[in-house]
Amino acid sequence: MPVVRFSRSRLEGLVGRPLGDEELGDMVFRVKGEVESLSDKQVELEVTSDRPDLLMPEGLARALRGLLGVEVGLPRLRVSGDTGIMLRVERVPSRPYIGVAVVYDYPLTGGVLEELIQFQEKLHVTVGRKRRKVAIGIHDLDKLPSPQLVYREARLDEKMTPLHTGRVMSIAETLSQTEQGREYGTISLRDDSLHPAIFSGGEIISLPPVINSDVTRLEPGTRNLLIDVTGTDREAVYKTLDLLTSTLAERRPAAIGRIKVELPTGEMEHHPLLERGTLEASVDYVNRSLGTSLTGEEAAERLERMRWEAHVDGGTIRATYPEYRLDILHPIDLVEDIAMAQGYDRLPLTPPREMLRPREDPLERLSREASELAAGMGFMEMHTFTLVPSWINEEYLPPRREPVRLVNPISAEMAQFRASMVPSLLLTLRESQGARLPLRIHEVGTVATVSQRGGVLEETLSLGMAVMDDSVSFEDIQAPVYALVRALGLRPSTEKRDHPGFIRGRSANLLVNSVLAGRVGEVSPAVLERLGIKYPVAVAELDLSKVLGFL
Amino acid sequence: MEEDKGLAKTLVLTDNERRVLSSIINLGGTAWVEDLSSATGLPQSTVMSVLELLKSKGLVKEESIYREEYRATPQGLKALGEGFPEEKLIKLLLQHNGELEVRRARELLGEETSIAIGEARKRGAVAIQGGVIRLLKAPLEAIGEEKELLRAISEGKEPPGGREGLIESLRRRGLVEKRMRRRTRVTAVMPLAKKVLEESVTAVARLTGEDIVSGRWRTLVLKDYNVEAEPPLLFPGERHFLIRFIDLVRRIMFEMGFTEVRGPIVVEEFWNFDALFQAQDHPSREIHDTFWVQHEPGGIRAPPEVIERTRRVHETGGDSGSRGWGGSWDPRVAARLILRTQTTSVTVRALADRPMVPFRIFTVGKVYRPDAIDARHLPEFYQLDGIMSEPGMDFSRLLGMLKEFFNRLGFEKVRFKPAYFPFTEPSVEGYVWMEGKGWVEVFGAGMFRPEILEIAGVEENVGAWGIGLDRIAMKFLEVEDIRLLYTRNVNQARELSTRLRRLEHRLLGERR
Repeated sequence: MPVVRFSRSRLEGLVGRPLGDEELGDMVFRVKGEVESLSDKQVELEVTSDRPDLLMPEGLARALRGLLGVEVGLPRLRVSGDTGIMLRVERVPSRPYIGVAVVYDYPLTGGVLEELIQFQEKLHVTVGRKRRKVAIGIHDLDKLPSPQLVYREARLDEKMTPLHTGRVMSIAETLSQTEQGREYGTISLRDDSLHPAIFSGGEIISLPPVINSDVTRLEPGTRNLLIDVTGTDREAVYKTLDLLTSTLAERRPAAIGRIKVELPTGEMEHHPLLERGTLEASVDYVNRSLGTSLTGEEAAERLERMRWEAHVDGGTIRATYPEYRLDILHPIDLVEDIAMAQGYDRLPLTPPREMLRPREDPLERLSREASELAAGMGFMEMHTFTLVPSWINEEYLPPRREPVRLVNPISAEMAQFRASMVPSLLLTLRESQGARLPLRIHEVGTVATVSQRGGVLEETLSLGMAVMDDSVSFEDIQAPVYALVRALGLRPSTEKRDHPGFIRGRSANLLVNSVLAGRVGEVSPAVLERLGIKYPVAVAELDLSKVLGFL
Repeated sequence: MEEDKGLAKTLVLTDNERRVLSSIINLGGTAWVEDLSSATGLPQSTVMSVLELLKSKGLVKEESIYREEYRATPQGLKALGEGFPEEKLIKLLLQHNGELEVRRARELLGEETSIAIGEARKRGAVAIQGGVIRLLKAPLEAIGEEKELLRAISEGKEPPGGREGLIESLRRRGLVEKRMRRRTRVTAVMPLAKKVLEESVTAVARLTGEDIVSGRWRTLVLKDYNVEAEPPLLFPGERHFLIRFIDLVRRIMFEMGFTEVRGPIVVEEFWNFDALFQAQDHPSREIHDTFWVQHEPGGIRAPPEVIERTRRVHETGGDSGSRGWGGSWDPRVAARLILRTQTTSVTVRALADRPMVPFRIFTVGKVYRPDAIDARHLPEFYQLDGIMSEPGMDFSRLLGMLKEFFNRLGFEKVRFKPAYFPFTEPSVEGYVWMEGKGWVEVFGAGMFRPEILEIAGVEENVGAWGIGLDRIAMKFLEVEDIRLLYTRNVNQARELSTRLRRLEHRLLGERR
């Protein structure tokens, strides 16, 4: 979840009054956030990814004013007349959507510039999906070379002055020589020859989603902002623009300015759209979802405090939610907002009343029975990681199976999902050589493999048993595993079979009621030596999923 | 009484005592100890200690006989190997045409030079004139005789008689040494020994089945044990502490009427994300947050109608009343194999089987996230996931169930906080009060979103939750390092098993 830092005085100024430490903590808690640290100067808080509007002090203040009852209902937006700016959108297949807007009277004084950049970066990571889905550019409106904007694909030899470089470069150079170019340069590049760009007059002011131009750079003296949002999802692009503009405009006397946009189809739009959605839900639906007994008026009052506009009409709540809420998909989202305004600590708790009959999973039950039998014969139960090193896993791979390999293991020690319990047992014995001999251990766990033909995944629950001593024999492990199978009322037998990783002539298939269900054998000294195990070891493995079929 | 006791004591012979005593009698009533060892087959040390017991019972007498004995010294053994010093000198002289300066001889023979010259002169083999050694006669026959004697002595043979003079000269040269050797001879006290052998009972260490069946136990005397000595170390075969903790949790679930289900660990993203209405471009599906499995592209193991409903819900909301995520849903992304990141992948599958309402279902299992290992993070850990529904199911019943569960686990104070999960609405994070730690977040929960109910094909509201078990287990075990829960060190596992047992008793005690 994203973490942001705000100036405390600016936050309190936006809320309209000072907030005590505890009060601030409680309020943030109620909007799903958590105060991480708090001082006189700074608030550091974590917010959830469904509420990007809380990533800016203006947005958090807007929510807190509602909860505190300072200002409820839909926020009033100040939208000024036409800005005189015009954007023509051409066909840009790699990044088709763009939204633009102006915010007037938003001076970047004090720490505001830092908070604005933080807002932009957090939006890139969350709703922006690391700039793939949505990217934001913010410009100094007053530096704009021309009110005529064009969004089109540019050739890589076209020139621009990337932000903070101070020199003219080709787009190709910008992509290869700037840090942002190397990180985001391939996202919207088409056919290695065309890249989206925003032009003002003939000059590139932005190369979305990579970098802006130095021409319209933000500075502490900047007062009026031009915002562009580009991306691959129309809805996400337009809603992000709504979110940005409506949030910044919370700071008085800021106002939103609209821009005329001509789409590739010739249609005209006025950005930002500032679209507010409506939902209907019955009061009964709210109460049935929450277990509450709120009246329609009470429910509407809760919604107003969450900055909705709500009217009750008979048993129905008709509600409008603000343009910055990207998380409202369904009437159930309205229900949650009511619960949040109510406070979860003031919701009723209904203790369980129904009497239901429990049922244990049969395989889980068998695993406990088998484990108890093994423990009863002195085999200490161990429980270790299911991810193991490749070499040992492949050593004990069952015939005609492939291991489950991870694409992105965190280390060589945990590169594959174990295909057998033998690797787990041996890794345990290696770490337990200080224990008194003879050492008997067992472990029950999931093993998984893929068939060589057809790539069919197989996952079973398996029991492994091992004995380590100054000297061990095949019978030292064969006898207990036989005893375990017999105790389950089944018939064990062995069938001579040389398995890799075992001493030749001393390993066998383990059969249960004449069906293959495991392996028994003395571990090859070559494996013991590689692991650094100084004593002989014998192991047995029993497939409990197969055994269950006989019970 | 005193006399009876004494008699009884003499009448008790152990098996070894009986063997040694009868061997002495068989060897004619008197025997050397070393012979007894071979006659009884017992090691000499055992024979000696048995004899001590027989002596104390007055059944044998012992006498020691001392004899002179010669033995080769280290110098003697050296002379045997390399030749006597005077031999070496004569060999040198022969190589130098019968003349050698003393100074030069010293360089060649080192510290043996003086002995060599002295002995050779004594034998009349050399003479010294003006610092030069001259050879008078060679070879030295007498040396052969001395050598033979020395060899015999070094091999432990009895030297032949009449050579005392020669032996004495070897001894003076330090090539042999004289030692006194003790030999022990024991004699059975007759006729008592014979009588005791015939009449005594045998004392035994271990009672055998044969002793009982044959009735011989009546005449046996069982030796006293040192019952206060430390026995050999043993370790019980124990169940693992973490599994026992999980079973404690499972027991609570069973008591509350839950049915247990199991599901695979290697799953299609479909069951882990898509069926839970997690958008296909959601960050947690990326490679930094999910383990991907290498595999050939394949299908989704799910009923076709469930897959179709999932597509529609993602794209447009389907019949759920939702707006959906928009865009187009890609079945190839949903078919990718991963290690499950949440056991909700198991409960949602159980939900898609459309259980009869009311139902309470749970699963416990490992989940996987590519986190680097440290004291607080592991790439694999345990989760408990539950779902429940009943007629009139609502959020308050979910919260009531969760509070009841944590109360039964021993946490009296539970706190709920609004939260965000893609698949529940309303969503809640749960905290419990842990002494010494404060409020600790232990679960995430909520009502399954209508989108999920639509995908699963379920009408009634369903509450769902996931609980990370490791952190609660750490609290129970008073362990600060999560890695200890999965230790590969058996001794550590034994220690933690004992700790859990003691803590369980203490907790139960507190609750009584």
